[in-house]
Amino acid sequence: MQKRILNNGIEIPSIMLGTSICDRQSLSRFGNHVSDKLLFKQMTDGVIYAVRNGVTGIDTGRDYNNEPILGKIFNDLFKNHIVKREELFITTKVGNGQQRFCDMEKELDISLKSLKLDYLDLWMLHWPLPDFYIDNWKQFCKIYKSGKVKAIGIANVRERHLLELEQADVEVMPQIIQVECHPFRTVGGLRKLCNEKNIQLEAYTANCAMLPFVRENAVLNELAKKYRKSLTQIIMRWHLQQGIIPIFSSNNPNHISENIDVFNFELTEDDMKRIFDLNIDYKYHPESVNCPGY
Amino acid sequence: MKKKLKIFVAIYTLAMIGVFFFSWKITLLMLVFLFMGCFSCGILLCLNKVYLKTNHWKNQFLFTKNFISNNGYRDNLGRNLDIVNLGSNPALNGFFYEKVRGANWATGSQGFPMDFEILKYYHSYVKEGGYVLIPIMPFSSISNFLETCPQYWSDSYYMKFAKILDCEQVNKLPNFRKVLLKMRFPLVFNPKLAIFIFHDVPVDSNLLINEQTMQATELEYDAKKWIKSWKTEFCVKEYKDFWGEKFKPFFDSGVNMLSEMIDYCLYRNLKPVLVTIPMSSYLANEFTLEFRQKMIYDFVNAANKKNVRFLDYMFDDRFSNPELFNGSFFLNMNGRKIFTDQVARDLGIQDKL
Repeated sequence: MQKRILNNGIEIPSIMLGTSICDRQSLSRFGNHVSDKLLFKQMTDGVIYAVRNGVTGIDTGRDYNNEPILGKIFNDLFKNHIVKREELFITTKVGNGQQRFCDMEKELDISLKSLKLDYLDLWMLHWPLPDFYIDNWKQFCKIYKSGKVKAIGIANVRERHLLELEQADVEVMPQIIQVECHPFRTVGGLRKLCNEKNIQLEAYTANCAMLPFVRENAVLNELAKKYRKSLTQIIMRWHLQQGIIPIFSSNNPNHISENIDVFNFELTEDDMKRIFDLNIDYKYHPESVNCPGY
Repeated sequence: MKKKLKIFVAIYTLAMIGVFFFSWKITLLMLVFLFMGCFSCGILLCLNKVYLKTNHWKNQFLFTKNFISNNGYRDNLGRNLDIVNLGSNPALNGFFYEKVRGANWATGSQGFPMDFEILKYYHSYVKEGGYVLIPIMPFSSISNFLETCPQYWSDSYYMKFAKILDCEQVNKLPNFRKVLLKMRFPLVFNPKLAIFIFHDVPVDSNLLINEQTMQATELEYDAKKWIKSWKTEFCVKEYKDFWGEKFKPFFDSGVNMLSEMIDYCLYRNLKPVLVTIPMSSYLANEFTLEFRQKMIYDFVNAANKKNVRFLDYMFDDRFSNPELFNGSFFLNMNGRKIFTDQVARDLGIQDKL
């Protein structure tokens, strides 16, 4: 799989496997009660399939409640020589609840212990939590300099948050930011700012959760027909061609294969523009209900 | 609460064991008391569960359907609202969005602090550049005074907000533990409510009333009743007392909070609009020119440092017709539609759907 290079020289895979769908609490909140055993099996099968098929980037977060499960999976992967630690690019995030304790060193240790790792490739603040995130980011910078994490970033930021960090005179600006980005929310301003500051952009909910209006969109369907690819593949390719790292979440082998089989075709400039024109700034995850005061 | 209960049960059990060595009869009596207590608690909890299903309870939270929290947004895909409003009862009765993509975020009695909390939690539903209407009513400027009057802003006032805000925000509400317990066990705190299990009230449909239900003399009386109740609420005798020294700190804190809300919106690329809501001629006539200047316009001028739009309909002749209201203060459904349409037109967002 192709790689991209961050502004600190670290290599990062150009597509990442997300694990938010394996959030035990969320699953039960929405009526899907999954036993730990079943969840572990589904996740193990999904992650191993993905890794065997070339996915080396894995994204999680403390708030997905699956770090310990992933820890066991990583342990199995390394023990059975399916992949080496240095071949994987592992991300986790510090949630809002943990940010309020203001002890990032401790939170990192908890995550590393749960994931059974001795370093992280990318460590992120999950939200720019008002009143907390700037101080916590300063702690992030210190930890980054100590070498326990190879790169640091923030998810769910807007331009104003990056500017606030700059104004706070932080030692290191984020190497990566992760936001909701898809053809219906193209985050033009943020993309421009990231280009200027050489910050890598990652896109979660990369295919807008395949909501009905996405599935039925005429432009995407027309392009899918034209390139003989699925809608998902068109969208993933659109991300890749503009240098954004899309994150897809699935445990299903067919879906995993579909999401990564996107390196054998190219969208024309005109078709890229047609997809950009779909933008309606649609936020599937409204930020403030996840982070009050956002 | 659970901890206290466990401690009580442990102490009671120990006491029973201790007493047993002196008199088995007293121990038996204590055991009977324990069973009776458990039985009564069981009955009360069952009744509580039934009460939570009554209209009397649910009527207090009818507004919650206007708020899609973290738990609901995956099933409710509406986003990018053109306009929302905050505010108290006049706003709840003042806005009905049918030709624009909008939401009424007034919950009934609602002061600036709760306006702000709602804005903080839900503002991402508003599109970039969307409008946030911040209603200003005759007593908005000093409404923070009511925080000092537990009979008005009591646990039941905060219960509404505990239902729709994030848990971190709820944890900052006054007496939040008691508020949360009251929400789970209202009957335990007020057993008299059990009457509604057997004689329930109908679903509250006041907001659907389409006409004026009062006649001229009743309207006059209603207007005077409102004025009297405000004077009682704020403990004043004459109008001039409203802008006296007693309320200065509350006026100032109101100014600060409104300015802060305006700044909050502007920083997030939302367009705050200060708006007054019409009242019928019967009630409008009760407010002197001096009152209007001191309590509304001076307040708006002091808070509106960023010079955002101020739409003033409170004493607007177009909406003073009593037929647009139900009573002297609140617009009826018909008036609400006409008024909302006018606001949308004034903001240039009519027929946006």
